[in-house]
Parts: sequence; C-alpha cells; structure tokens
Amino acid sequence: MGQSKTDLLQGTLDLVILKVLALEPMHGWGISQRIQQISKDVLQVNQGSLYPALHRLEQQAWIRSKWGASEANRKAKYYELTAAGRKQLQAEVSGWERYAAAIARVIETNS
Amino acid sequence: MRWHQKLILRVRSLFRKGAVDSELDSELEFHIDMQTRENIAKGMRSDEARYAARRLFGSVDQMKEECRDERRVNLIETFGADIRHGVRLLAKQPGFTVTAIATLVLGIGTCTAIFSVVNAALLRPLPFADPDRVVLVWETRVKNNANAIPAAPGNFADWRVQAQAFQALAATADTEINMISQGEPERVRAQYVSANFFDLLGIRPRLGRGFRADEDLPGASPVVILTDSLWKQRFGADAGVIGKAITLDADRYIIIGVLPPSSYVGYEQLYLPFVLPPNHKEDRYAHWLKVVGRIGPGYTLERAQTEMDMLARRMEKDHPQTNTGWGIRLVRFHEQMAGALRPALLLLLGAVSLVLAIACANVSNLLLARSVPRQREMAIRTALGANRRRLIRQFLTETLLLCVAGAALGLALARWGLDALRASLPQQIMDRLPYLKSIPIDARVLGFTILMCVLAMLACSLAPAFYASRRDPQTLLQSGSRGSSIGRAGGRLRSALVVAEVALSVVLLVGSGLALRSLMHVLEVRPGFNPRNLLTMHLALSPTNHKEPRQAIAFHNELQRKLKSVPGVLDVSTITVLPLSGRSYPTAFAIADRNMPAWKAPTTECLAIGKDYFAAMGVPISSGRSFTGADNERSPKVAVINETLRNTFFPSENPIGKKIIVWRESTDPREIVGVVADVRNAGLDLPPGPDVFVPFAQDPQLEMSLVVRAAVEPTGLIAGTRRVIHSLDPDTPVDEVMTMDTVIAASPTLVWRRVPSILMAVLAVTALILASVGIGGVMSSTVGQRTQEIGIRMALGAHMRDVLAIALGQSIQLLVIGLCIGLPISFALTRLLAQWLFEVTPLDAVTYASVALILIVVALAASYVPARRAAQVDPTTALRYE
Repeated sequence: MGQSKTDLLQGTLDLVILKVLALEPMHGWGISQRIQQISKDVLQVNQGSLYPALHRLEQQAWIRSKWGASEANRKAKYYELTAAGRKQLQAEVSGWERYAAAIARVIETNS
Repeated sequence: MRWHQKLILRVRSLFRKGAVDSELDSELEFHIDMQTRENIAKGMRSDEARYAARRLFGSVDQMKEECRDERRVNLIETFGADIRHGVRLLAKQPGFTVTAIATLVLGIGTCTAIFSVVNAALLRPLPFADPDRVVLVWETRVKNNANAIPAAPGNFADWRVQAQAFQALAATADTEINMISQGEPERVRAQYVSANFFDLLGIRPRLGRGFRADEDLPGASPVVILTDSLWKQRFGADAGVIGKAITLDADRYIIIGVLPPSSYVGYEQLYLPFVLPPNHKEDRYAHWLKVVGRIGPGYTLERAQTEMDMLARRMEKDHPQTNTGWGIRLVRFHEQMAGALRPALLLLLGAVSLVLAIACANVSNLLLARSVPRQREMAIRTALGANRRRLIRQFLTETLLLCVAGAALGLALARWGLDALRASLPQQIMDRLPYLKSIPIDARVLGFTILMCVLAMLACSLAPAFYASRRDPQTLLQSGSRGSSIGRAGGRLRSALVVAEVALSVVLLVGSGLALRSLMHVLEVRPGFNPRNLLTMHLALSPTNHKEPRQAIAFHNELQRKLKSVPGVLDVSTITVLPLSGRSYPTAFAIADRNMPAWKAPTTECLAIGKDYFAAMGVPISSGRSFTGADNERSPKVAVINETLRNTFFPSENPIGKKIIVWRESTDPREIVGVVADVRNAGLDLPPGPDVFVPFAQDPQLEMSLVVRAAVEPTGLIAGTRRVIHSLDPDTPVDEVMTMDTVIAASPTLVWRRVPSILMAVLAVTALILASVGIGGVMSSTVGQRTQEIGIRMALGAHMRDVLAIALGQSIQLLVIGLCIGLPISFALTRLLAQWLFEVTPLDAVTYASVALILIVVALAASYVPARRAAQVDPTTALRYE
C-alpha cells in the first residue's frame, strides 16, 4: 500500500482497532479519527485497509456490528467488542509488549 | 469458539450477499460524508472536499473486494466463476484441451491400473477375520538353506498340543481329484483341511455348514465344501446341492456347504476334511503338511516366533534323530500369498510413476506454451485489481479441470486395461492368482486416483502459474498490442521440462529394452524337443476303474495303440509330467554302489514315459538306447538319464550299464540303458536339472500327459482323441488340451517374464510419445518466436537447409542433455532389474545404443514438422511479422 512513515505497522491494525473499541462502541469513521487523535496524529490509518480489517475481525467474532444513530443523527454502523474480542485484545497487547520490549533491548545494546 | 455465530455470519455473507453489499455501501458512504464534512470545515470547496475524501480510500471497488475476501465469500464464489471461465477457455482450445487431457489420462490411468493391482495383491486385507493374525507355519532347515518346508505330521501334532502362541492350528494339503457328478468327468483342484480350518480363518459358508470337529477323524462319513465358483460352474448355483452326493476319485461325498464368493484361500475348487492317518503322531520324516495358524490374543508375530523357536529347540532334544537342525518359521499369510508378485509390482509402480511425471511435465509445458497468448489477459486482470493469488487460483482451477477429466477417464482406462490384461493371461496362471480374480476399484484406489489427480494438478500448474503471474502488468500492456513472446526465463523453463521428459523416458526405455531383450533371448532358447504340430492333454485315470497297476498299464498301452491308428497321427506317447507345464514332483535318487549319505540325496524329476516318447517329442538319444515294448513290468528295471545327470554324476565314465536308485514305489536299482539330450522341463529360462526317465509299465501312474505328433496342425485331432480316451474309460477327465506351442507360451516362467516386459514396453512407448509431443511443442513455439530472425537470415541468403539446421540443432541440444542425464540414472537403476534379465547384462551396450538412437530419431521426427514450417516462411512475410 502507501509508503507513509505514519502507516501502522503490519499486523498492529487489529490490536489498535480492538483497543479503541474496548473504550466504547464506535463506527468506522470514528475509529480512524480516534486512532489519529489518541496517537497525537502519529499513526494514520489507511482507510483502504480499515474496512477489510473490520470485516475480518467481525468474521472472527471478536467484534460485532449493529446499526445505530450517529452524533450527526445519521444511521451508522457501530462496532463493539465481544467477550472473545476482549480476550483477543489481552493476548495481542501482551504479545505486543513482549515484542516491543525485545526490540527495545536490541536497540539499547551497544554494539 | 462461537462457531455458531461464525457460521451464521458466513452463511449470511454468502446467501444474503445483496444485503451485505448494500450495508457495506452505506457504511462507506457514511465514512466519506463525514470526511467531506471535515474537509469543508478545514476550508475546502465542497466538490473538492468530497473528491479528497474519496481519494483517501484509493480504489473503492478493490476495497469492497477485500472486504468480501475477508468474509470468505469470494473463495466459494470465485471458485465457481473460475470453473465457468476455465471451461469456456478450454472449450475454445480443443486442440490443447484434448492433448492435455489425453496426456493426463495416460499418466493417471496407467498409475491407477498398476496401483489397483498392487492394492488387490498387496494392500487389500484377505477375506478372513482379523487377517493379520493368520500365519503359515513352516519348518526350516538351515543346512539345506530351506526356509519353507511343509511340516511333518508328528511335529504338527506336537505344535497343536504345546504351542501356547496359537489360538488354533490347522493342517492342509493340496491335491487334484477326479470329480464325477453330472456331465463330463472333471479334474478339480482340492485341498484337504483340518476341521477347524474355516473357523480359524473366520469364513462362514454362504450355504449349508462348515466342517464339524469330528469330521476329520478316521471313520467319519465323507463330506465336501464347494467354493462359490465351482458351485456356479458345475452346479448351476443350485441351492439344492446341499445334502447331495458327488463322486470324488473312488468315493462318494456329501456336499455340506458352499463358501461365499469373495472367500478365496488358495486356488482350490473344493475342500475335504483332512483325515490324518492313525499313526501320524509318530511320523516326523515325511514333510507334507501346509500348516495355517491363528496367533492368539496378546501375542505379536515376533513373540509367537520366539515361542516357536523355543519349542523347536525342545523338540530337537526330544527327537534328536528326526528333528536335529530343524526350525520353525512363521510367515503372514498375506505375505506368503503375494510374495512372488511383490517385486514385479513395485517395479511397475515405479515405472508408472515415471510416466505420470512425464505426463505432468508435458501438461506443464502445454500450459506454459498457452500462457504466452494469455499474458495480456492476465495483465489486464492484474491492472483491474486481481491479485497474484487470485490469478494463481484461476490457473489452478483450470488445471484442476484438466486433471479431474484426466483422472475420470484414467479410471476408465485403468478398468479397461486391467480387463484386457486379465484376459491375456492363461487360465492356469489366473487360477494361481485367486486374489486377482477381482481387481476392485475400491475406496483405496479412488483415494489414490484423487491423490494422483491433486499431485498432477500441483505439478502441472505451479511453474506456469508463478511464471505468468510474476510479470509486471505495466510492461506487458505496453509491450505492444500483439501477443508478446514468452521471454528467456519461460523458454528456459520449457526446455528444462523437455530435458526432464527425455531423461525419464531414457530410464523407461532402457529398462524395458533390457527386459524385452531378455524376453527375446528366452524365446530363442530351444526347449530340447520339437514343438511343431504337437498336441498335448492331461489325463487323470479314474482310481475306481484302475485299482490295479496292471489296469493303468493296460489303459496306457491300449490308448497308444488305438491313437496311433488315427489318420494324421504320426507318433503318440505319454509322460507323467509334461515339460513346461509348471508341475514338478522332485524325487530323491542315488547312484548304486556309491557312498551317498541319505540326508544329502540329490533330487531329480523322475518321469514315467511311454516307449516312443523320445521319438514323438523329437528328443535326440545321445548314447545307448531308448525304451522298447520289451521294457515292461516283468522285465529287468531300466532307466534313461539326461545329459545333465550324466555330466554331474558320471563326468568321466560311461553311465550305460550302471545302476541308479529312484525313490518311487519301486526302489529296485535300475540299469541305465541310455542317455538323452536335455529338455528344459521347468522353464525356458531355467537350466535343465538332472532327469531320470523310466518306462511307464515299470512305474505306472494315474496321472499323465498325452503327446500326439501330427503331420499337420493338430487341433483337428482333439475331438477324435477325446473319443478314444472316453471309449477306453468314460470316467477319465481330460483337461489342459493345448498344442505344445501354447504350452510353451503359457509356461509360468515365460508368462512371468512376458507380462511385466510387455507392460514395461507399453509404458516406455507411452513415455516416448509424451516426450516427443513435448519436444515438438517446444520446437513449434520457439520457431514461432524466431520467425523474424529466420526471415532476416533468409533475406541475407540463408538456405532452407541452414534454417532447418538451426531449428533441429536446438532439439538435438535438448536431447543430448536429456540423454546425458538419463543414461547415468539408468545405469544406477537397472540393477533393480537384474533378477529379470536373461543373458543380458544391466549395462548391455546394444540396449543403450538403440535407446539413444530411437530417441534421437523420434525426437527429430517430432521437431521436423515445425522446423520445416519455419524454413518455408516467405522472408518478406517473416520480416513484417510483429
């Protein structure tokens, strides 16, 4: 896809989506906004891959969707975390932490 | 985890596709609206804002596609689309499709055929209960290097009492017997079996009952169990036969049961209770029982073997005179049965897998050739958003269609081929292969075919699929509107495939060449007699009508006298065991007045013959005389020996006048009166052994073969000869009525050589055809690509001959590389063939040279057509081309 440095690392999009949805149910647009906002504009979600990811997570039964009214009083599709999704989030977070810690150790090693 | 939710989601995605798609649309629209609003808030004009919002998504359609992919809808949907697309494409190119499918039919069909024989002979469980526990119990004698000697009755009796490892043991003995019920008397194969035999195997009769425990004891009333095939042939499948009586040899037996159709045990047609003689427990000398056992629960074959080893040691101590040096060996029934076939079958299985590999290389090649004009299709589809995996899947689907068609037709070919093969085998051979009576296409064979189909699909499609999808669509689309050339990499891939095909064909051609040359050598072997216009048949005199030896002698003399006067008959005689009939009854013998210990007595084929046998057969007398009418039951005992016996036992003296003792009914020393030339009794490819001939009158038998030498083709004499026999004794069955040429052709060692050799040759020719199709295909596409170059050369003054040379030069190059790879592989592999070779070494130069020559001729012929077409191109057209 794009070459922008602010793109999410491959494989972390699921984690970030799950994390955002853990706070509250949200529609796709809101999710992309929230990610930018929380990461202080460092992370940018490629919108071309957001929706396939949402469909993938729904297919895995980690999130479920229902139609609701948005802030602007329009019909929007809201996604929320399922119990399985919550478990998956925990697993992904701890996996990420292990990974990040390992990378940090590698970087800090004086070669 | 939540599988039901997932299932609902998936089913919904698949069947309510419209609803899901429109939901996706409104979801995306909402997103774009929101983004537009934000863009306007940032100060963009409204149309600009909407455009920018849309642009953030990239290709909306591609994204929708990805969403569908995530929902797994596409997998199923596109499979259907791929199949439709594939069928359309294949139908549009019938030439390609037919060639590819025909290639796969040959590859998969031959593989399936051989595998179904392997399945029937080696893999299919025997029709017994728990067949792995059924074993044959042989005696062994290390000193004689013998490991499958029938058991002595006394030892068998001990095993039955002492062997803990066995749940049951049963003795059997094969025989042939005259059956008289209705119609002509018939010689049938019979087996004596202990009463517990069928219980041991777990076979229940389909009609009537099995043997009762007391029916193999002395004095029991005689009963018989028929096999299904005999019941159908001779008794018209009449359920009323139970309780009826038939005459077997001299006695009347009551039919008590009929076995189910699939329950072959050996090749016998009926079963009789095995009544062992009352003193059998003392007899440890005569080894004649084939013992079958069922290993008890809790015992493995190894443990049972260990226990029997210990038992054998104990019996050595108890009966040192008879049992010293004797051991016991257990062999799984299944192994024993198909053991002889195993090496030939595995060899053929190896050969067919080579053919399948060649077929796959060929189809791969065809697909590659086809992918040239399809590159634009692929490029356009890539540009429209199809990803590489999707394109590969399309390729795989198309190849799958070819392979499925190939496998389905291949199964039909296998069926047909097996029927043809079975029909080509002589009846006597088929009788000996009960497990090949039915060669079913069962689940295992189907599974194998499906596996072959999938393997073929992967092997055929991976190279072309990766090759075609790897290329950058942009360059392809730009590279001119005409079909572009396949490029160097593709060309090299195709050349490599052709080289592989050539190399594999070399291996098959060398293998079958060696086998065929061996076969030719065997067919050139002189049997030692003159087979022309010689009619033979097998007789078994009825024991009721010939209780006394003199009755058999009278029949024998009368038969010859009467037949001699039949017009067209030149000579008539008899022999107890016809040469090359596959029968053999080794007899121990000794030279009188020589110190020869009994335990290493040599064995001979002792043949009782009519007085004119040597004349009738055309066997030359080397020295001394043949028998005359004066050598009868009252005259001094005489014998004639063959040259092998003379050379082995009388290397430096004249055997005439010496005495020989043969262990037959009469063990009187016989004076050797003559020496005759060797005859190949056991098989054309087996060296003659020592033979002793005695006059029929001095060793009368109930079984004999008649040989009738005619002036012309002898089949016209069959009816008359039968009439003469039945006028002398209507109860004598006549079977195996054949000309001597047929006897030779049907002789077991020749059949076992001929059938695999011919199958190998068929496979090798198939391989050759496939490889030449491959070479021809590569040639025509390279020539096609080089049209322009050829045009330039011709414009510059090159002759047609030069162009031909360039084109053919390339295929010679491929051939030479293929030969260089294939010949060393053949060197290495032909060692496996050593046991089938006859007067041919595995490195036979003639074979290797002819294989190379045949390949070069065939391949050049295959590439000549495209090369010539190239050379005939008009230079001006060629230059304008592209």
